[in-house]
Amino acid sequence: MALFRKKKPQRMKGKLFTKQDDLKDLPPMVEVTGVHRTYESGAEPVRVLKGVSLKVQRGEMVALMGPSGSGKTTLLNVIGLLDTPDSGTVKFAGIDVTDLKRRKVPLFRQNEVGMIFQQKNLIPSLTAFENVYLPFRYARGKRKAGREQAREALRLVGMLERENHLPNQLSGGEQQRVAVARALVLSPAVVLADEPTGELDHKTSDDVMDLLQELNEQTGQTFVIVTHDHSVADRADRVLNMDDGKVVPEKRQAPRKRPATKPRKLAPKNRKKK
Amino acid sequence: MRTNHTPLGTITLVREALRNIWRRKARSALTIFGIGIGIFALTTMGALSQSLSKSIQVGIDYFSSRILVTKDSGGFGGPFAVGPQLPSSITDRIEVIDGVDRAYPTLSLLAEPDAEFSVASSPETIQGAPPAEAAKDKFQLEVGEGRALKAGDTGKTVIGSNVVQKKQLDVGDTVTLRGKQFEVVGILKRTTADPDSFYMVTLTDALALSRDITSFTTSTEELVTNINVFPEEGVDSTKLTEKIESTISGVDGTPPDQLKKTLEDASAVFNLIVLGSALIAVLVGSLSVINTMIMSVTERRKEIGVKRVVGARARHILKETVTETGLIGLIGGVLGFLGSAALTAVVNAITKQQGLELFLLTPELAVMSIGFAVVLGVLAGLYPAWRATRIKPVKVLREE
Repeated sequence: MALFRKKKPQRMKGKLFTKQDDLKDLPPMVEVTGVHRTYESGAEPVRVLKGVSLKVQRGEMVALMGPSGSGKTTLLNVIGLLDTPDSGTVKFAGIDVTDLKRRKVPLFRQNEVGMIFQQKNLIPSLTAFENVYLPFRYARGKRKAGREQAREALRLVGMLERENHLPNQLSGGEQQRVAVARALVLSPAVVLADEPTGELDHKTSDDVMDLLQELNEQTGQTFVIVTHDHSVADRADRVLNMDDGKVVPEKRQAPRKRPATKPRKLAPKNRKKK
Repeated sequence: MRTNHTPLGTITLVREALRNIWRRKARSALTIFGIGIGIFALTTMGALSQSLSKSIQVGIDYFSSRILVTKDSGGFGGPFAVGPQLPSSITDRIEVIDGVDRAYPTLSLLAEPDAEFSVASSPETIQGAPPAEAAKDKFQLEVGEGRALKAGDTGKTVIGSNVVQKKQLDVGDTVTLRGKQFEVVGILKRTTADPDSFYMVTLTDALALSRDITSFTTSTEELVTNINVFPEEGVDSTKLTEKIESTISGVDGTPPDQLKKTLEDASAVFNLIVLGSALIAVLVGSLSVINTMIMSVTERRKEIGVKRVVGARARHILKETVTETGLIGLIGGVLGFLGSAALTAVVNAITKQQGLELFLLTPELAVMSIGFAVVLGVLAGLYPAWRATRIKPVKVLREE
């Protein structure tokens, strides 16, 4: 965590992503306070976020739900520093990153945040391996080690056998697995997923969510998942509802639904080989 | 498409660029074709201009060493005249002029009396000069095989490379010049200029041939074509030329500087026209690269957004885009060059039979043409690349 190395609270090697009790006192992994965002498009400015505040603890898996246009994706983009809020703050592990210097933003994206999208957003001219390796291409000094890490990430999502396939040679579910591997390959502190199962059928969607849940439990990484799908939200530790640019006060969440079988295989079952 | 290599740095960069070029086959092919045509024109014209420059350089080297005195013909003929025109006795009168180191006459005759001058080839000429005097010249035509002419030679000739090819002659063979037999004693090295079509003989032999042609005239004087005058060290050749012209009536002197300038100017103008038109072709080609790349960047803005999300900096995006256009330039450049190399080789093979190599394709020209194509590709990529770096991930990631 290069950006925060000299600041308190320091990351403790090997413990950062755990849910151990001794980390309870540390600040939340993600803390958004009073964020406003207005877009100037057309005659009328559109107020998308109207003072959003939320906290996500370390290792938590949080689902963000709400009607279309309620500001879920915009909030996700603000957390991932893809968008800048007009006012309010975004803190990572207690450190304000809202006004992170421009040249530090790529470094932040590389090391702290992994993003998964509804449309997978794989690069069509790169193989599965090259797509997962992509973040290393832009990370100075990590290229060599990245080869093994990329393979490990592919193995983790059960796609190692297909590492040399181009995206158009993979099914939708396989593509999303590769996208997940890419988001996780640099072991980011936080994974932000924007409708990761939105384009997948029910079965594949279940597989991908099993995978995310498994990874969350294994690695202790923090997940924020934007979704419309209640079956996806049911997998989360907590569901936050958004409406009209604000987070609706929380209702108590029923106990998290666990994956159907244990121990879960990370690789999808009965996957057809191409 | 399967690949089994581990991507690292430059290799990945190039491989991705090639795949991107391959992804839009028709469009890439047309763009590469556009650049290729430009480089084809540039290389071909460049080869033409290099060939011309080389022949002109031989002329410059030859003429810049001497003042050429010819018959005053009112501007016609001048230093490029042939045939008997001036009494050779003028040589003695010139030699005594102050500032003249030495002088000797030369006689040029058309090898075939009815030969015509044409742009495509110089006619074969018989060049008569006194070997002992000519041997003192700073500028020497190099003999490749056999030997040079020497004083006292009779019925001997040293021939240019075009003559060798056209007449299938070798050292020791006999050739008939205007009805007289001559033995080939030497062959000149190729110059790509006029000397390639020379039969060099002694002045005595040339005068004898000339007398036979002009036997119907009553003149008993020996007539030569021109007189080569060499100024003394430190003497201004332009002033000496004026002095010769004022001392001896009916002659016209061409000082070396003037000839050199005339030849160089002609060469420069020619090169400018030729290369200028080729450059236009290349620029049009590069516009098509800009156009193609703007389209590609627009199509791929989502990919670029993703790359920014995983940590790519503006310079990475710039580098990737410019690598692709550089490669388009390289492929177009190589294809254009190969096309030009093929064409010039074929044309040269044809024109060689007429004693002319129209194109000179040097390694420097090859490197320059292909290098130029790459540089142009890179430059053409800068604007689209800049546009690519301006893409905001948040705006493009959710696009369909």
